[in-house]
Amino acid sequence: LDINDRIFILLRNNNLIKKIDEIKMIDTRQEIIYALNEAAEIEHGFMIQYLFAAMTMKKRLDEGITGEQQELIRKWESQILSVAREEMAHLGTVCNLLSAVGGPPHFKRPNFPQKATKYYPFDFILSRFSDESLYRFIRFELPKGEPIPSPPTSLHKSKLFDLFPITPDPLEYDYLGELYNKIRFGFNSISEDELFIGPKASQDFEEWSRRMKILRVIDRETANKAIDFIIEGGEGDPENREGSHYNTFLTMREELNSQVQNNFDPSRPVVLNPRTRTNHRDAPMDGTIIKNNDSKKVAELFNSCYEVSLLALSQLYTFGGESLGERNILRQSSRHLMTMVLRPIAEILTDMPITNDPNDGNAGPPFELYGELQLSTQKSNRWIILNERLESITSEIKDLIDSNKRFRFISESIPLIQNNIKQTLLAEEKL
Amino acid sequence: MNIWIKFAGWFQCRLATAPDPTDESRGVSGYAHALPNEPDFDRIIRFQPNFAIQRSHCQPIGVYVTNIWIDDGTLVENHPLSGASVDFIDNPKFESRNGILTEDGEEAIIPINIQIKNDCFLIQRKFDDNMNNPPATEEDFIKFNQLKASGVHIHPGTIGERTGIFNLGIIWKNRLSKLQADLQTTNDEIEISSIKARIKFLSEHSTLRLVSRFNARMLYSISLTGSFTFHDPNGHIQGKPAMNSDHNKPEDWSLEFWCGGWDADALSGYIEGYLGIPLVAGKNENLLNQEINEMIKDPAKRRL
Repeated sequence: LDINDRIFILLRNNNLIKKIDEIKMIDTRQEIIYALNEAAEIEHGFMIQYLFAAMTMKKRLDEGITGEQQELIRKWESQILSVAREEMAHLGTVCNLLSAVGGPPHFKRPNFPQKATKYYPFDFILSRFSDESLYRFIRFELPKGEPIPSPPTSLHKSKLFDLFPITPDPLEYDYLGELYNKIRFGFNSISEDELFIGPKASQDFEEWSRRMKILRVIDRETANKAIDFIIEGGEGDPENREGSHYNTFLTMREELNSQVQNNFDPSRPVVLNPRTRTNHRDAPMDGTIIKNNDSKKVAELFNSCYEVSLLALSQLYTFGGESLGERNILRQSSRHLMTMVLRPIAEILTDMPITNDPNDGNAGPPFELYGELQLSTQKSNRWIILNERLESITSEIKDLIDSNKRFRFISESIPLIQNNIKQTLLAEEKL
Repeated sequence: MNIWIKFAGWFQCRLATAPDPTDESRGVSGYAHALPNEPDFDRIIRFQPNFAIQRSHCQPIGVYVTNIWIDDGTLVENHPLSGASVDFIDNPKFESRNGILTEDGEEAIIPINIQIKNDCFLIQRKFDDNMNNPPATEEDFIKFNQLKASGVHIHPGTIGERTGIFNLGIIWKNRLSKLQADLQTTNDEIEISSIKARIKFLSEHSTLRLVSRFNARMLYSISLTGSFTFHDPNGHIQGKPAMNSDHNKPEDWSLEFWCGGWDADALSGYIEGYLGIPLVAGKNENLLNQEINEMIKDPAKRRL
């Protein structure tokens, strides 16, 4: 955490600022940046929690599901991944909002688990797909005015709810939309000439894919559009919630509960908050330590790949003099790391044991950051470090090739990603 | 002299589509899914029905020789090779790795090793004998680029004429009715789930982007330079492959083809192409041996 984050949290934790409301109306640049940092962490945190749940879902008929359930699970996983991609787009758009007002991108976040109120108004935990996790997701995306969903019926059985009881209060803001509306107030209350100091070119507005668009922010009008885009993605339109994250999870939960009588468990027995390290300074609550050596190696590899993808994203959004070609390869490399590396490793992990006793459950992707995410101030060094990290991952993965056929494919893809970066840099040099 | 062998037909490729990772085994985020009654995806391009997973009410998989020409433009009628099966052997796959290796529509097919065979005839030729996949060296990347498609071309007329399908939406609508009828005839839970999944897919996608994908084709043009097999004991081709100046391998063969007409429900597409082989006049070895034996037996057949 940097000094700004610490001051903000200090103020909150000492009741000097209790609710986002009490920052009064956000009406200074620094307050906008603080609030956007929090929004970035929340979007990032949501995305990871959704991805985690999606990666725990059963795939094969030999995992105790019927053909019909397999189809249902596939549909749910696809929907959750789609929501996670939109969270990524929201995170990118928040970074554009930050850049527009002169703030740096924000990809930092504390490790899991996090109790509500320490950092955010929601518990942040990594839990497998279930009625309970869907309840939490609905709560994350709940629009103001909509009824709070009924608690999970399996409450009494759940370790999850022993640790994280359903107590929506105290919240610093009850709805994510409220936070964004405070931010909107800031964007609308400071004069445009004064506020929008970020260079117009320092915006990521290229299409990441057909399914993922990030909005450009260069003035008040585009800032408002970006905020609408984020709020409506989560909550939908008050007149029509269809397609929103809220509605997607609500429908999914109804579908899941309609299957309860079939003793249907759609996810693998993945433990709560899997971790490779006992202590994280920023996450004092216990996680579940991955004790099986093979699983731990894979989990550490996952964490390395996750950190490298964040490094590439940070470099992309920092606008530190990278050319269009260089920015494009950063965007592509981040996307390829997420799709072709992180997701397969996460899926492998949720099928591996957490300890040497298979009854203890399965491991899962921990999304741990072992240290503060740091980006070199020198552009040339950023490339060197990115290259070194990819080389180190290539070397780490060699030991795992025989453990799962997917590792061979992943191990081939990483040097290709690295080669694309090298070729782009060579081409840029020639220019 | 060159011989031009034209081939065409439906191929199958069961693969996950973006944004799924390329090696996704069942298909989650993209439009392609392995059905509950089907094995995992393997990405292999199959020209022949064996090992293809033929979905009901879809075009039958099979790629065959349709015509033979020789250099002077003569179309050889009733050539013994007509109807011979055509295959890309050694488990070829579209290689793009979700855009890491190529842009959409430029996917390379690797490996390329074409085979044409019937009961008494076998031709095979590889693109190259020493290519690493995935490419690792500069030389590999040069070779890889030779195998890339030239991008997506929208050619509904050509594809419609060749396949007889000018509007895939109509085909899908008919298929949907047949699948709905099939539902009434089975009690098998897994089969019911699979049929329902296809009904849902066809209902949701029948007017959308996936139908128009049928009208796209990717063009390939490749020189085959690798090792070969030419087994023609009955002399159907009436010539032998012309050898290069060092006489250690045949001159390059020309392989051009297009893949299009992608049917996202069937997971199959249409391929049409030509294999061009430079030949020299000459008796086939088996026929030559046969003639020599006859001359030994019958002095009247000996010629000075």
